[in-house]
Amino acid sequence: MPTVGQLVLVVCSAAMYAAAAAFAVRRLYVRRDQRTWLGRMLTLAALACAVAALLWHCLADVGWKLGSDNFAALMWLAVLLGAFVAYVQWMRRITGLDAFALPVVVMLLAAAAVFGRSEPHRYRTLAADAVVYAHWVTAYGGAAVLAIAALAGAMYITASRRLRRKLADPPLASLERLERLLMTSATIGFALLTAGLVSGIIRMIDHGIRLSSAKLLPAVCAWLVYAVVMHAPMNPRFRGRRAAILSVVGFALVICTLVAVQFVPGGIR
Amino acid sequence: MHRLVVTGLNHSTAPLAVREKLSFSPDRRAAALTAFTAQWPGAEAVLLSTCNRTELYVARAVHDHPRSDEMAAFLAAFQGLAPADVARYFYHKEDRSAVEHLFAVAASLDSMVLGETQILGQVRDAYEAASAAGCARAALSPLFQRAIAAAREVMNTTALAEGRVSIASVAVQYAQRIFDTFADKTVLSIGAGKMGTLVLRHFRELTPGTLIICNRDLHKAQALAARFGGRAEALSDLRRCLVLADVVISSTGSDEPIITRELFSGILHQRRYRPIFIIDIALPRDVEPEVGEIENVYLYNIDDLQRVVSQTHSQRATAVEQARSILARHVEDFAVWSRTRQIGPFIESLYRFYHAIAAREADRTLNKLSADEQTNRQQLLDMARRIVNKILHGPVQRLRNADALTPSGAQYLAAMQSLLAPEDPSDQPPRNNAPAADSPQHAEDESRET
Repeated sequence: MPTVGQLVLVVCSAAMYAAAAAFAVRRLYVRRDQRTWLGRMLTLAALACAVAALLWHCLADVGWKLGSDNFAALMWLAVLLGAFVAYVQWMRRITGLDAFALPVVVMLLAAAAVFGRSEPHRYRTLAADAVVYAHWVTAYGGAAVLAIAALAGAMYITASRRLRRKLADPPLASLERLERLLMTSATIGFALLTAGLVSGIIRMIDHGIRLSSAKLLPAVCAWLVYAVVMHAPMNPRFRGRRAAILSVVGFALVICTLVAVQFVPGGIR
Repeated sequence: MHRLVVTGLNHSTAPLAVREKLSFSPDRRAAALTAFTAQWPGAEAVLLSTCNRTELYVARAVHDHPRSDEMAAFLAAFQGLAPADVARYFYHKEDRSAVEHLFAVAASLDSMVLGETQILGQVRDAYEAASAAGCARAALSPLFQRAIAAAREVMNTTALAEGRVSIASVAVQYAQRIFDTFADKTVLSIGAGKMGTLVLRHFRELTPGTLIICNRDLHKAQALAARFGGRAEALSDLRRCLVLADVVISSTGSDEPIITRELFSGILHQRRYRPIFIIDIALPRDVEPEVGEIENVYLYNIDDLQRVVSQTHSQRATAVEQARSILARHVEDFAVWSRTRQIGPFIESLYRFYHAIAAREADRTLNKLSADEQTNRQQLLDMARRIVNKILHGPVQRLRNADALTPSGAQYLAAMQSLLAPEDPSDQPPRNNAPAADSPQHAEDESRET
C-alpha cells in the first residue's frame, strides 16, 4: 500500500504530466509554440517525481518485483512509458508523440493513485512462483511496449487524416517514421505478449484453472490482432492505416485483459 | 566616420533575363571584389549574388567614393553590360535604410519565398568571401555578423521559416510528412514542362534514390534526366514507372487524365500498397480525383497546394510582424553600438584637446601675474575648463542625439571633425590634467554648467 507521501509525489507527477500534455496538445494546433522548453522541463520533473515515488515504495515496502502490488505495477508502466517519451523527445524527436503519450501516462498515474490503495489480490504468495513472475514481467512489459505501438498507431491515423484534409496544420512525424515505430514496438510487444500468454496458460494448466477464464479471451484476441499486424510485411494490404487501427484495437484488448485480471472475480488466479 | 551604401537589383525590380546577366558565380565574385579594392582601396565591400538578387554593400568615408551610381556602373561593367542599359533596374539605399535592408534580406523578408532559409546561408557566404578577400573589415564585418545573428533569431523564434510558401516547396514539405528519408525513394516526373521542372528541382534537394523523367517526347525527357541526374522513360512505360514511384509529379499538357483509378488500382498489389504522394500540377488535371480515395495514396492538385500556400500566408502574418519587430530591435542596437563606437573616441579627444588649450592659456595668464595674485590659480583653471565645456556642450549634444546610421549623423561628425578637431596630431597641445570626456570630473562640470 502506498503511503500518503508517495501518493503526494504521484499526484505532483500527474499534475506536471498533465500540464506538459496540455502544452503538447496545443502544439498540435498552434505552430511554433514558444513553451516547448517548459513542456520538456515539466516532463522531466514529472518523471523524477514518479521515479521517486516508485523507488520509495519499492525500498520501503514491496521490494523490486514488478507487479508486487497494484501501485507498483501501474507505477512501473507509467515510469516506463514516461521514460520512453522523455528519451525519444530528447534524443530523436518524434513530433507530436508527447501529445499522445503523456495523457496515457497521466491516466496510469491516476489509476495508480486510485487503485494503488486497494489490494484485491494477494500478490506476494503468487510472486514466489517463477513462472508467474515471468508471466507478470512479460505481460506488463508487453503491455508497456504495445502501448507505444498503439500511440504510434493513433498518431499515424491522425497524421494520415490531416494529410487527406489537405490543411496547413502543424506537422506530426512522418507516416514512414510512425509506421516504423509502430511495427518495431508491435513486434517486440507481440513477442512479450506471446511469452506472457504461453507462461500464463502453462500456469493455468499447472494449477488446474479452467482455460475459459475471463482474462484469457481478451488476451487471445489481442494476440490474434497483433498476429495480423505482424502479417503486414507479408500481406501489405494490412500496412499503413489498417495496421495503425489494428494496433489501437489490440491495445484496447490488452487493457481489457489487465482489467479482467484485476477486477473480474478469479482473474488473478 | 563611414557611410553604408547598398546598390543592387532583385526579383521585384529586374526581370530574370537581367538578373541572370548580373549574377556572379563565386569565382566571378572574388574577381569583382579584387577589382573593387583596386579601384577604391579605402572602401569596404560585400557582394551578395543569388538567383533572385545581386547587391553590392559598401562602407566608405563620408565624402569619399564610390557613390551609388558608380557602384551600379561597376557591377554592370564588370559583367560586360552597358551601365545605362541596366541602371533603371537598380535600387540604392544608404545608412540606416541600407542596414534595415540587409537585415530584412538575411531574414528572408525581402525574398520571393517568404521564410526561405537559403538566403541566410547565401548572406553568410557573401560575407565570408568578402572577409577572405580583405574587403569586409571594421565597418562591414560587425554589420554582417549582426545581420546574420538577427536572421537566426528570426528563424529560430518565429514561425516564418516553418511554412514555406511556394507551391514547389509546399509539395516538398508535404512529401516530408509522408516519408522520413528519400535516399531509398523514387521520384517520378511525368512531363517536362516548366512547372514540373521547378517542382523537380526542389525534390532533387532531398537527394532521392532514383529520379525518373517520363515524357511523351523521349528526347526532352533525356535532356531533363541528364540535367537532374535521373533516367528517362517513354510515356508508354508509365505503368511500370508508377509501380516504382514513391513521389509522382505530373505536369503534362494532356487533355485527358493519364493516371486513372482503373490504372492505379491495377498496380496496387505490385506496389505492395506502399504510400505514394502524387502532385498533379497540370491543367487540365492528369490524375483522376478518384485516385486520391485509394488507401495510402495522397493526391494533391494545384488547387490543394495553392490553398495550403494561402493558409500559410495568413497564418504567418503574425510571424512576419514578430520578425519585423525583432529586426527593428537589432537595427536599433546596431545604431547605438555604431554611434558609441564612432563618436565616443572623437568626443573624448575633442574635450582633451580643448581643455589642454584652455589650461595652457590659463597658465600663460597666471605666469604674468604676481605671486599674490596666483593664489587663485585653481579657480582660474576651473573657469577655463568650464568655458570650454560650455562651448562644446551644444555641438556635442547634437552629435550624440544624431543617429549614426543617418546621413545627418554622419554629416555632423564629419563637420565637427573637420572644423573643430586638430588636423595634425603633432599640433595637439601638451597633455595636462584636463579630464577625459567621460571622466567623473568632466561629467560633473558639464552637469553643473548646463
